[in-house]
Amino acid sequence: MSEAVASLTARVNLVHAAFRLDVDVAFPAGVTIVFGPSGSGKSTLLSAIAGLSRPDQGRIALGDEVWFDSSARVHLPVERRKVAVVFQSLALFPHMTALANVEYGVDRALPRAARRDHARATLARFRVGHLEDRRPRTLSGGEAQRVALARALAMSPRALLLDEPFSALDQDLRRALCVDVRAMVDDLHVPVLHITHNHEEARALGDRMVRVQAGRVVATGPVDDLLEGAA
Amino acid sequence: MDFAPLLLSLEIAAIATAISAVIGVAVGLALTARRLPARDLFDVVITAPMVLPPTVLGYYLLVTIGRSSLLGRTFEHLFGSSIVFTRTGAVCAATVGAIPIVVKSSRAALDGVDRTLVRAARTLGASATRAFFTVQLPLAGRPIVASLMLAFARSLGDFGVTLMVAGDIPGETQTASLAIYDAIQAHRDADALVMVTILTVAGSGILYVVNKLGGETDV
Repeated sequence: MSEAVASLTARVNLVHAAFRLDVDVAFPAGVTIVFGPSGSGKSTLLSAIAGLSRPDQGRIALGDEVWFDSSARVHLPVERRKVAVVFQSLALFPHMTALANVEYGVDRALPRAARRDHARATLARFRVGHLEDRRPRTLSGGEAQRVALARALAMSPRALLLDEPFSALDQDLRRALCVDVRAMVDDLHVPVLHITHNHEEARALGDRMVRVQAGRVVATGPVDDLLEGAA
Repeated sequence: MDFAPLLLSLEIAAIATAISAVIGVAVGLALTARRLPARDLFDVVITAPMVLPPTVLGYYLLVTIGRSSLLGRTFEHLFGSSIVFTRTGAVCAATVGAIPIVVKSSRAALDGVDRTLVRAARTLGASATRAFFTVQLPLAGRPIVASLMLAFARSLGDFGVTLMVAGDIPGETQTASLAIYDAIQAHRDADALVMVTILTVAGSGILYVVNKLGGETDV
């Protein structure tokens, strides 16, 4: 696993109403905790990386592959970036079963049966295989969380963005899920951005940390160092 | 008792509903775009048929698709018959009244779907089109289906616009609501009563189902 994996680089300049995001930051493979108060621009940064919003200026690239470049007028549409996003609300499709949710993002070049098998296997990996026929509203918080993670993983993403997905869960569930996410990330070996306010979660998951404040990156470095600074 | 007007009404209403489904949902979707210029004006124009007198609508339609209009002449050139005073004209008349109903409901229903779900679909590799048909539209489904049923009922009952644009030609454009008028004028009260009863039952039945659809909100 020591081969060089492309870093995600993001130079993003974006003005939205009275808010201004102005960052230039690199995310290597592994988990980067994106830490900062609410309203500091963390989610805006994620949405620009995913391609859900378009920066006014800047450049976003995964290794040599340019996703966005304002000077070259490049804007790769969101569906072609293969960036998995686990939203704070999870955004599971309420009209589909857990299995159909996971299958939704699986490469459509595969035959249908293969897509289904892959989705089943991914659900099983997150220990929610037995819930494949359930609708999201019948799932508990932790179960829904695992289905959302399975959906993100099943699309074989080239980067993974986690937008405070554990914020609604209690401490024990958080811990359990951190273990799962950590195992998933080590397998995936892609850049992972994890937004959180939670120190324990940051320590358990993060390989490094980026601190964002008022739309700017104020520090980058090891999680423990930055958390001490914050405390 | 001649059932031809009833069958004609059903046929026209079915076609008008199908057309207003496509146009109505598309316009409804366009109206959810936050950056659409003159959105409110567009909304007013498209929903005006709900409040304008049938004669006013009929007038506009005659101007738009009449034999001397560009559309009317083109159609006549291509298909060899005019739009007005034919079944096509009756379908146009019914459609104009049905579209606003579908636009209003689908705009609200599509707007009511959590945008994060659509965004999630896009990140999972879905094109904007696929995300619309697999996530946004199914989640907005019930109110849209309900509006289509209302559109059908509205088409079934059109009188004024049809009369102005398509006339009252037995076997060609004489729909049930026109036939009732004729039956009353000709003192064929029994015929009128049968059709009145059928239209009343159909309309009330549709309303009942629409209310049922609206009442159950879970998916």
